[in-house]
This record gives sequence, C-alpha cells and structure tokens, in this order.
Amino acid sequence: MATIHVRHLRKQYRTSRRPHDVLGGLRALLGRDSIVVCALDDVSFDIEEGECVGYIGQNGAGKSTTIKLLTGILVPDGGEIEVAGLVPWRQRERNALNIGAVFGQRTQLWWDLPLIDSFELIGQMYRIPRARYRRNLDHFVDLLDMAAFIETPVRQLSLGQRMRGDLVAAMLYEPRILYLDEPTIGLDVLARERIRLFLEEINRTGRTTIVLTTHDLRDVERLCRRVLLIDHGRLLYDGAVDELKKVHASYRLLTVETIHAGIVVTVPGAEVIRREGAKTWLRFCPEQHSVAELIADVTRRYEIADLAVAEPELEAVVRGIYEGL
Amino acid sequence: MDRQIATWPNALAYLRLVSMAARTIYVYRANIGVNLLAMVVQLYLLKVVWSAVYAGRSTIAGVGLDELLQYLVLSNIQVWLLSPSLPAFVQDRVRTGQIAIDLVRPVAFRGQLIAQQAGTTVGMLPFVLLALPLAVGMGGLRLPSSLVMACLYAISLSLGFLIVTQIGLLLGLLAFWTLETTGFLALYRFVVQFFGGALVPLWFLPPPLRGVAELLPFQFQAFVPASIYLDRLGGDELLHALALQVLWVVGLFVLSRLVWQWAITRAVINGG
Amino acid sequence: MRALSTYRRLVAANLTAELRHGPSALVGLVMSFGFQLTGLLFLWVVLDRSGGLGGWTKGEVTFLYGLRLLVRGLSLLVFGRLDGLPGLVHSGGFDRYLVRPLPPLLQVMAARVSLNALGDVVGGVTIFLLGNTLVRFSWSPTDLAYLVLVILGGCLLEPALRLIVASLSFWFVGTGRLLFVVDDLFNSAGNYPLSIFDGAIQLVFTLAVPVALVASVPATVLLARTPELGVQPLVAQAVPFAGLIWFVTAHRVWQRALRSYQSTGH
Repeated sequence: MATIHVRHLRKQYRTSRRPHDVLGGLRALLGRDSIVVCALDDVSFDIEEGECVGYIGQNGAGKSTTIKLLTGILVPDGGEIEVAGLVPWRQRERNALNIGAVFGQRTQLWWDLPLIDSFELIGQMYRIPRARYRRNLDHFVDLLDMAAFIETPVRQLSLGQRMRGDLVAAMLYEPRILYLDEPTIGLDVLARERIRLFLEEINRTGRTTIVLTTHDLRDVERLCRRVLLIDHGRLLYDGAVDELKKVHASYRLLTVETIHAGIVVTVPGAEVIRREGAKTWLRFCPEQHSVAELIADVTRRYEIADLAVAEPELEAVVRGIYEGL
Repeated sequence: MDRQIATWPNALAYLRLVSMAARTIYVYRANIGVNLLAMVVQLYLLKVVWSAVYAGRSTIAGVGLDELLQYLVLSNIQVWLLSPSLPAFVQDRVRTGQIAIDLVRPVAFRGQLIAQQAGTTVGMLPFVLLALPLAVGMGGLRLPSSLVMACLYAISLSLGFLIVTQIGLLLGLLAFWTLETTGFLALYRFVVQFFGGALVPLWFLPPPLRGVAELLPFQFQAFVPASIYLDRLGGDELLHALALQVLWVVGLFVLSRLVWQWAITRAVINGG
Repeated sequence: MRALSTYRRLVAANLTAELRHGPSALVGLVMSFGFQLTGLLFLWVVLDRSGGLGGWTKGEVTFLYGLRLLVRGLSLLVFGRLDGLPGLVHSGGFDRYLVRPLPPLLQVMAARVSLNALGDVVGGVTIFLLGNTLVRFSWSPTDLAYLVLVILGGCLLEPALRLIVASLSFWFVGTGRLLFVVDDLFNSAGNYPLSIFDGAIQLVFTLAVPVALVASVPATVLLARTPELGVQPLVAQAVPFAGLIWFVTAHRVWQRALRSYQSTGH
C-alpha cells in the first residue's frame, strides 16, 4: 500500500460573502447569504515511500486544502485518504506522530523562548527518546549551521534562521512524511539554497516522503522527480517533471551573445522571444531544426561572443499550460 | 514640528479625520454593541446594589434613591461616551512606526488626535441614543432644569472631553516606555470610574478617598457634569468647578506637550 | 496520562516566557491584583454608607469576595484565560494545534496560563482569611470538606463558560469582546449575595450565566444563611456539582465547534 493513498477526494467550502459578525453569523446559520465553493473535485493519487513530490498550482487551486486534508486539519466531503495506514482526520493525534509540517508563513516555534527550548518541547511532545533526540539535534544543527543562534529567542531570528528552525522542529522526531508549504517564501538566495541542500540531504539519506507545495518552481525542478499540477480542484498532471517538459514544452532555448551590441539576430527556424543589449533569446523546435544546424547558421551569420542551448524552465512550461487553458 | 496650521483647507482635513473615525466605529459596531451591553449590565448591577443599600431608607446624606439612580445613569453614559480611543490608537502607531509619518503630515498631530477622539465620540452617539431608553428605564432621567443649566452642562462636558483627549494621548505615549499595558488598562478603567464618580458619587466617598478624587481629573468626566445637570452644583461651587476644569485642560495640554517633545526626541534617537 | 505531563511542560514554557519579560511580568501581576482589590474597595465604600448589603455585614461580604477571588485564581492557573482562541482561529494559527499529537483543547488552555493568576490566588486567600477573621468563622471538619468541594466545583464553572463562549469563535468573529463581558460579569455580579437581586435575575445568575454559583451561593451555605435563598437546603449545597455538569457541557460544545471548523475551513 502506498504511503499516501488518495481516492476521489472531494472538499467544498461554504463561505459567506460578508465577514461574520453576529448578524452575518445568524444569516449563515439560516443557510442564506452563503456560496458553496468547490475546492477539490475528484482528486486521486498515490505517493510511495521515499518519494519527493512537488504539488503545484495557482493560488486557490486547492493546494492548501489538499495539505490540510492530508494532515487531518480538515475533514473531506467525499473520497478516501490514507496516510501511513491511518485516516488523518479520524486518527488525528496518531497521524500527527507520523508527519512533520512546515507552513512557510506561520512558524510553529515558541515566539519568546530560545530556539533550543522549542526543540526541547517538541522532543517532549513527540515522545522522542533522549538519545535519538540528542543525535538528531546535533546532526541537524550541524547540517544547517545553527549553533550560533540556537540560544536566541525566536522573535529575534531572521526569516532564514526561523525557517531552518522550523525545518529542524519538523524533522526531529523523524516523521515518515514531511509536508512543506512554501518553505522558501521570502528568503534570500543563499538561505533558499541552504534549505534546498538540506531537503536534498534528508530525501537522499532517510526514507522520508516529502510533499512540497511551492510557487517557486526552481525548488520543484531541483528537488522533485515527480510533480502534481492542480487547477480549480482537479489534477491536471501527475507524472515526472521531465515528461511534463517533454509533452508540454518540446522546444529548446538558444541564447546568443554577439560581440558588438545592437545587432539584430535572426535565424530561420527560430523565433526571437527576447532581446537585451547584445543578447538575444531564441526559441526553436529541435525536432524540426537540428541544434547543430542552427548553431552553425548563427555562427556563420554573426560574430558570436557566447552561445548556449537550454531546456525550457519548469516555470515557463507551467505558465504555458495555464495560458493554454 | 507641532505648529497649529489653522487655514481653511486644513479644517476640511480635520473634518475628514473626524468622519473617518466615526465610520471606523460603524465598522466595529459589533464590538461597540458588546461594549454597550457591558455598560448597561454594569448600570443594572449598580442599581441593584444601591437599591439594596437604600433598603428602607429614603435618603442617605441628603440624596434620595431616585436622584442617585439618575446620577448613575448620566455619569455612566458620560464615561462610556467619553471612553478614550486614543491610547490604543497612539500605541498602535508607535509600535508600527507609523508615528514617524504622522509627524510629517501637514495636519498637526495633536489636532489629528482631537479629531480622532471627536470622531469616535460622534460615532458612538447613535449607540447612546439606542441605550438611552434602556438606561432611563433603569434609573429614570429628567431633563435639565433650565436652558442655562443645560448650556453649563454642555460646557462642562466639552471641557471633560478635552481632558479625556489629553489623558488619552499621555496614555498612548506610554507605549514609548513599556510594552505590557493590558493589566494597566484594566486598572485604569476602574480608577477612572471609581474616582470619576461613576460607581459611587463623590458625595458618598469617605473623606480621604474624596480628597484624592478631587485632586484627580477624572471627576470631570462623570461627577462634575452630572452634578451640574442634576442641580447639585450651583452658584460659586459651579464656577469654581468650571474654572478648575479649564485649569486642568491647560495643565494637561502643557504636560502632554512636554511629554510629546520628549517622546519625539527619544523616537528620533532610536531611529523611529 | 502522557498528555498531562506535556501540558505541564507547555504551561511551564509559557510561564518562563512571561518571566523573561522581567519586571513587566511583576508589574502585570501587581496590576491584575490591584484590579481585583478595587472591587473590594467599591464594596467597602458602599457598605460604609449602609448597614449592610441584603443583610450581609462587611465581614460576610469580604468572606464571599475572598472565596470568589481564590477560586478564580485557581481556575485561571489550571485552565488559563482561554482568550487566545478567537485570534488563533482568525489568523489560521489554530491549524498547528491540529497537527500536533496533543488534544487541541489542552494546547489552547496551556497557551494562556499566566502568572497574573498567582496574584489572584494569593490575594484571594488573603482576603478570604480576612473575611474569616471579621466574621469569626469557626471551621468544622464538615465545613472544611465542603470548602474543598466548593473550590473544586467553582474552578470548573468559570472556565466552562469561557470555553463555551470561546468555542463560538469558530462560528463568529468578535467573540473576544463577549469573553470580556462574561469575565466582567463574573468579576462583578459574582461578588454579591444572591438575595439582593429579584427573582428573575436570580434565575439568570444561577442557571443561565452561573456567576452566583461560583462563590455566592456556597458562601451563603457556609455562613448558614441558606434560608434566604428560598430553595431546599440540599439544592444549595449541591451547587458544586453544577460545575461538573457545566464543564461537561462546555466540552461537548467545544467538540462540536471543532468538528465544524474541520468541515468548513476558515
């Protein structure tokens, strides 16, 4: 049985158009003045142990709802969920012992206390044997370079430091599944890279299954081999990242930099998508025009300083899918 | 920095601030409604307690139960209507750093505060009208005895309003010094009501406590205006009280100005 | 139970966090206690003007006040103020409580246990002892046993009501203010002997919003003034059990609210 097993998952929200003051609340109770929003409609997938899966979609597509259903925060309106053999919303506290969750925008650490105190509390709450707690703590602190601020109150930490703290807090008890909701949001380049390396490490060594929800598709490209794309409550795509690119974006990018600026670069068979200074970006279909031909063509026509061929970025691919909808 | 710019365009700006504050009250009408409920409940409890105190007796220290109840209705409504919105307002701006922008605005900050408080009070007036029948049903309330008295009442109440505004500003400025204010505000609320005379009219306070109450400005929110209304304060005493009120307004103005300057320099040092 | 030891740890963490704020923690404690003292001040001033309140002497009123304050302090120490819930639900922070291997109610309680409660306990005990001396109360073993029962039952009442109101925040916005009103009621109406209210209100304060059951009715029993309640003595004496009933009801409401949160999101 897959670690995460989801079949025909359905979830609706009943929301009112106005904020709930007493009168609005009464009206909502009477069933009036509310609209039903379908957040998830017949979503099914399986995730095996040890996979690292990207769960992507636009805002409001149903990502957060899915995560909340998987973690047991919400109760589904239809369908079945099983995570590590448990039904999350029915066996919430037992399920909690199996999962770690990092919500990018809200920390789970205790605000006024030193970081280490939060870890101690987590250790106590999740019944981590003392020796294992110490070993994991030392390992993660070392891995994420946190010794310098482990005694600092959480409210004085920078966003990057806090995020590292949240990650450690989620991993201390070695959960079978780790849910990450926007873990790199608002972080600078270095901090993001550190987090990515950490996630790569735990996915490689442990058997932790990772479900990553993010808007930053570079994270997905880097960490996940499989991606689930959700839109308006339905799964649009479930498969390998490579496949997604191959199917939906069978083109390549050619970047040409001429020695002299201001030269207009055109090549038959390729479409110019951007020009900036001496650089030109072109798009072509490798099935129709071979790479070698194009490169030869370009070098023959212009004096080239630099040239590069690249695959389309996941970001562009997904955008293309949305635009195609 | 704190120049009073009194030109026509700025008068409109003030008016707009007033209306904004009043509209904010409407947005939070559920909160205000609950506040009103709390006031009515308190009034009821006071009525019950004092009625029990009067059990059998017609007057205490020359004051009859009817008159006392009217007094309580009036003074509690006054305290409620004049409750300061400024402490939270100013504190919030200090915490978020917004205060730096406030200083640069063309409308003088002190003027802004008065407009804010005025707007809040205006916004709460409809609620008072709503509660009036209920409150009056509890204690009864007759009209002022003459137009002169009504005017004097209005003057006293307005002076009380100015006093509350200044105190509100000072309380708000506390945010420069301390983070923890919730316990303090609860205590403050009681002090205002008790020494203001909304729980026990100052006529009934034992001498040492009465002495303290008369030294404090809170009496001008509840006791003094209400006494004028009920003809319990007349002639020389009345003039004396009004003069004292004016003195307090001026004194608080000076004090708040000093504290304000001090706070600004401190804010500048801390980098805003 | 494992959950209880975790609860203790969470409370300890919260109190430590408060202490880290140093002097302001002490100030908060003093302020809170000062605020409770003012209620007594008001009563004393009023009683100076009259022979008594509903026939109750100054000493008896002090006795009642001390009992109420001590019960309140203890309940706050154990159950916390429960006032963090509206904010948590509104901000979405409550979700985290559902992802932890601990009942969310315990987490909500632990988050708002405050040092201020200690001030209430100490103050309450002091005032209660003062009342005892003024009334010249002599404690029989039955009285003492009953006192324990009263304290246990009373400790459950206020939190029960708070929990019910707090649970409303899963459905309505703005319940924070309502919590404040309930708190106010317990702090004011709960101080008076029941006999000064007329019949309808007596029913309200015993059945609808049971402020009188916390200390007023038990004090009436202890002070041997039961006849003025107008009910069978056994009914008055059984009041501590109302605390249990109210708490069980409150827990049901809480669970219902939790189910609703999970099925509608926010």
